[in-house]
Amino acid sequence: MNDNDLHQLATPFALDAIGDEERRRFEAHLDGCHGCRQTVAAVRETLGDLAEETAVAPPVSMRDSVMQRIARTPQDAAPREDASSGSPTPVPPPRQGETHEAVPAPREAVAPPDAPVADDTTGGDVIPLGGRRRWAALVTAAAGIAAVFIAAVLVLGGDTAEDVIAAPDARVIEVEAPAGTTASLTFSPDRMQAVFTADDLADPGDDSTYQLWVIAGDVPRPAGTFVPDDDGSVQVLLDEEVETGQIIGLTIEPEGGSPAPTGDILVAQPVT
Amino acid sequence: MTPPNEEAETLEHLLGRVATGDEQAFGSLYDRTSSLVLGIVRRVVRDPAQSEEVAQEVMVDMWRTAQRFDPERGSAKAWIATIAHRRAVDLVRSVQASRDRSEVYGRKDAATPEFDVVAEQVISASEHADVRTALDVLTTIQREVIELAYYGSMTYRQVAEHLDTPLGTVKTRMRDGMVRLRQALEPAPEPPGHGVSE
Repeated sequence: MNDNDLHQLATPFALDAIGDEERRRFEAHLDGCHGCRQTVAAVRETLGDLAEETAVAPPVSMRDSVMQRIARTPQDAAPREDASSGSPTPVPPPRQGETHEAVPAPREAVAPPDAPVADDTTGGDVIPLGGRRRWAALVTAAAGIAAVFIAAVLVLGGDTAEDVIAAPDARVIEVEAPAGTTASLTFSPDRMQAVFTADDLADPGDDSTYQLWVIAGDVPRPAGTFVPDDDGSVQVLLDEEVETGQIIGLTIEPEGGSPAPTGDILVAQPVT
Repeated sequence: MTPPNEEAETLEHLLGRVATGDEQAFGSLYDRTSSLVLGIVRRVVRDPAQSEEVAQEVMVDMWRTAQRFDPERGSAKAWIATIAHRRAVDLVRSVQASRDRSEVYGRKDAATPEFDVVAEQVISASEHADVRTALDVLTTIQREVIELAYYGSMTYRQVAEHLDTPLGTVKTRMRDGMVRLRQALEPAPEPPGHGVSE
């Protein structure tokens, strides 16, 4: 499975719609892939919002039952670096409250460098509650700052297809494509970038390649070449700036691409 | 340290207090998120009694793992929805797996029974569908793959097989559908810190 295939697992992963084996492979990939982390985070935010629409009030008795259970359930001591899933892997809770054994946090696993987390839990002594309260307050105070950082990263990091797809203003434009092909553009007006996605594209033929164009006025500018994978799928970032009102074109060109289109126009999609 | 006004407190801040072992803060968190959790679980698990069981587990998970919540990685709501959905899907898949095992052992010629089982469940899920406003923004084919996966506990491969559609197409529909859904849900002008239900 190559990288392009792995990128395409970001959404299925965030929907919990991949098998265990693929999930493990994707999680390993996710650690090093900023774009996929953004996609996963974006999908999860959307699902969090969607949950508001499906909310079901639990019976009143459930509250008492849960409150009783948490009163006798010790909390996990140390945050674990779990970059991939953000969800708890089912580990037995450390019996911290009963044995007075703090769980040492693996040093390399401390999440944000500015969150003073590990040292509080490495001493082997019971952590004084006051101390833990203090760091928790620090962490929550840091949340505001973190949000600013995330925003900065979102604005500056627009260099992969996944980044553009994850952009807050990204919108999907269905593309009128040759029969049998489904294609779409994901366009971020803020970034002036677009991603072309298609399925079931025909093989362009030996020594040939698909080429994308951004047409402003009458002038087509080359916006990248690609060859779809074996099942005709592609997801590619246009390497030209894109603005509303322009037209995205697609042709088949000799290998390496052409400075101006020579093949038949397969797609001429206005950016709306 | 007096607890801040709980109405105005963000879920993220509340989780921070829960992480310190504050049971009262957890009570507030419960009041503001348990309907969200149960809603997700019900859509996936469907059986009301079993759903309540799972929802309780999820709430206890939130208590137990509150220190793992990292606000840099996303909102509290997204974190909670992730835990709830994962728990629910794990249950459905493990029930299915044991059902499949007994079917395979029971009938040696059984081809791939799991898809039929899932399909049945999904059909009954659609029958019970009520609130669908957000998903209405999706095209029919996008909605289908997202519902089969997210509420039907199918992997994208199972969705592809179930719909007899290429894998790449299914992934694309999921991706485009989620982008579209985000556009639809985004403007949500929700007063800051306001809860989920009530």
